[in-house]
Amino acid sequence: MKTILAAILCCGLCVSAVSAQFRSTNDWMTENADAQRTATVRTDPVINKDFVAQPGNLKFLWKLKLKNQPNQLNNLSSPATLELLIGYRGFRMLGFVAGSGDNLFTIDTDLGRMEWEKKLKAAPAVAPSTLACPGGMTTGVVRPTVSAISAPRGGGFGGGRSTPAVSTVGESGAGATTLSEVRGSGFSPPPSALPSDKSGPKTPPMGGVFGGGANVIYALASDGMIHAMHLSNGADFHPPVRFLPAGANAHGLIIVDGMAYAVTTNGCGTVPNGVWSLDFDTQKVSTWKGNVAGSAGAAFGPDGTIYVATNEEAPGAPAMSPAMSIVAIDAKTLQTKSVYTASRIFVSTPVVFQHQGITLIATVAIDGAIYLLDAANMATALSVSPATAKGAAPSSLASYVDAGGTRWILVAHTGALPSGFSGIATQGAILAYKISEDGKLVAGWASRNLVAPLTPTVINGVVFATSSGEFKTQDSKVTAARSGRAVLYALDGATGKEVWSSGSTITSFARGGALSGGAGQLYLTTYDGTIYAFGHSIEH
Amino acid sequence: MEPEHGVYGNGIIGVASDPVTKAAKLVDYYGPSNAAWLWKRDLDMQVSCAIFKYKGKELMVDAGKECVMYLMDTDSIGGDDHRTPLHRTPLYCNEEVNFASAGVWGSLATWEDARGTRWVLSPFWGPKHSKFVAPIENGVVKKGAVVAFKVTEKAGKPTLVPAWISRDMDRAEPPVIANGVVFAYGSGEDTDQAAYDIGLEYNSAEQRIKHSTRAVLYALDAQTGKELWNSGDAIASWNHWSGLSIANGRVYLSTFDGYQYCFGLTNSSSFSLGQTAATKGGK
Repeated sequence: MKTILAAILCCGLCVSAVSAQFRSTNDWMTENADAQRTATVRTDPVINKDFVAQPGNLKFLWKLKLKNQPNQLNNLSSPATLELLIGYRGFRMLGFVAGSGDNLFTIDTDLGRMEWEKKLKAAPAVAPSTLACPGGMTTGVVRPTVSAISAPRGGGFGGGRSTPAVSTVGESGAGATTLSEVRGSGFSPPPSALPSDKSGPKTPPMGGVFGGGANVIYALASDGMIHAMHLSNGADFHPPVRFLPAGANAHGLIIVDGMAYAVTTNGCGTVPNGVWSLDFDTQKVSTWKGNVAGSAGAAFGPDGTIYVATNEEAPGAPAMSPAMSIVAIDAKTLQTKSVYTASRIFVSTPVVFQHQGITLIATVAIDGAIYLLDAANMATALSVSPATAKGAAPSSLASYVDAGGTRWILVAHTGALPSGFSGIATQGAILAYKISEDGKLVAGWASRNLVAPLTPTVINGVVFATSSGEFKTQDSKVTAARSGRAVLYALDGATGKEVWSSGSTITSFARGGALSGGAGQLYLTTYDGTIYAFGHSIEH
Repeated sequence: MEPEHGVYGNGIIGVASDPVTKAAKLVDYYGPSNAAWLWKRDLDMQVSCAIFKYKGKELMVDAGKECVMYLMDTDSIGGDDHRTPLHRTPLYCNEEVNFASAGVWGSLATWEDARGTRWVLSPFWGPKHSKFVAPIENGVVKKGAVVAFKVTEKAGKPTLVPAWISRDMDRAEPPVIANGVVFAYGSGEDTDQAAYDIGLEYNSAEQRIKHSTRAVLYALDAQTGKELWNSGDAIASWNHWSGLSIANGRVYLSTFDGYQYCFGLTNSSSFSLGQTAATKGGK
């Protein structure tokens, strides 16, 4: 009887539940999207060049004002996303936002409706808040990811429900088609989830087949405790664990290959600058000391190697933590593996990608020069682009491959256009460099004028650029008072030509990391604590 | 729902037997204009249609987990564009947009009273939608209820007008009408398919049997939805889509533990049902 009942009970949940909540290439897992910090979502069920170019396709969908207390200029992180959760409250497409006041917001991004919110319990700050050391939660909510670079997968079946179902209708009299026929032979299930356990930290689960098993998000509270929570309702997956000392200025939290990593900067509190790791199995915390550049933390090669760029020499740092360098670090031991040292400081989180079978690393120096290195041979740079201007370089990059196979590196440049680029921008622009056949960085296109542009986001070959509107100063009150409004633009990935803009929809300025998106939508958070969603509208 | 590719999911199809080949042939279909949403949130159209005569027309009603009801003319169930029924009600439940434990499941019911009013009844699971209002409501609905609509002509077009909502029932199942009395029951089944911590691994017979409770049978005034009688704790177990039947003054209900319950009139001067038998089934 039980066997029969078990079969019956499955009624009402379609066969396509196989498209469970495991990692989808449509999802934005962590700061700058992935472990390589590419700020790119390679496939999308809806967004592409033709869709965006058609007037009326890309729309303002919703906005939500979130209850959060800003710290200096920090307010909301860009959301990590989940295209499909088959949860206890229903099928959901979710966005996970961190608020600087130790607040977490999980939004049903189809409806622009709060799914759940939670304030993390954190010990009060002991140091006063400054622009350099604002305190509060300084890094985003993240989902566990892997360092391996997976092959792009089309939207829809296996990723979510943003596209129509794949039909399983067979020929008359031929019997039912099978899931394996629909999926093709390339389908492989994700790792099985681990059972929830209150006794202590466990290796981060990745979600299970058919939507079974635990699915977890992570947040790093202002007191340095890392929280693992069920993403369906925010309940603890395991008790909070000490990761960083209290008061750290942490960036780029990432849960990758079963470990947690973050970067600390500005010497806030008594916390040394560097790369930090937490082994969930042993609870061991390790540190690599150095002045790490950029806003998105560390980048990871497909073999798990950590890459950081450094700026100035860190006081008290060991000899193997050099300044003005690009450094490869072992992910388990946090020991330096390789170093490339330049004659100028770096300002950007590296971006890592594979090009013609080689793993490459790119980052930017303070004068705007991009350095391109072969991860397997970091003795010399493969290519260095001409300097643009001091202070013009961004804190992170974006990189993608277009439909023709050209590899692009995108820079959010501040100031007039440098030589080699043509256009009308006077205050800032997205500069696109491509890698030539002989492995050199070549100027490609420059976008329209942008005010203090954020790191661009690339979705399925469409470049989304943000004119942040920020009036940058060293005084948060002056910046808040004199900044304008953000405007979001969609650019043709091959030419940089503007194909869409958000117009006057956004009423505040934006700052921080790249806007995030995927599965037909884009999300931008602004200084006034509002999250905006743009994308493809479907009738509810 | 992609008719151009022969996909009719999240819709209703009409088929007829070919008089020559005897093969079933597609003759009509209806896909809600928000079928993509129904697919995305797994709000299946998984309810059996009910068909009735109304002022010389043959009309049909259907619903799904989304929790709206569609009124259709069987001559053309979706209109010229196959997307436009005669009438679509507002959402009456499933505000949470859940794929389990919410929405309409099973089938609908319809009857005509002595004054010629055509009624359509829908069971539903979960709370009533906060924006749905009926002229008569019989208490707060948290776990499920039966909602009644009257078929009413407006501007020459049949529509569905809310009439009443029943009392709360734990997973209301398809009702049955007899002589102006609506018999409905809450199955008591645990219909959840996922849990916050283990996701769809919850959806096992072991979990759901453990968390199911007991069925309760109700008799309702068909004009108002007012409760006339309930079976209290007479039924010891729950059931899973087993249905309800009525004949010769008796109401029958079977339960998961293998019993069949029979209720019947014990007092002809007032409405009172008594349990007449509970028979253990089996081989």
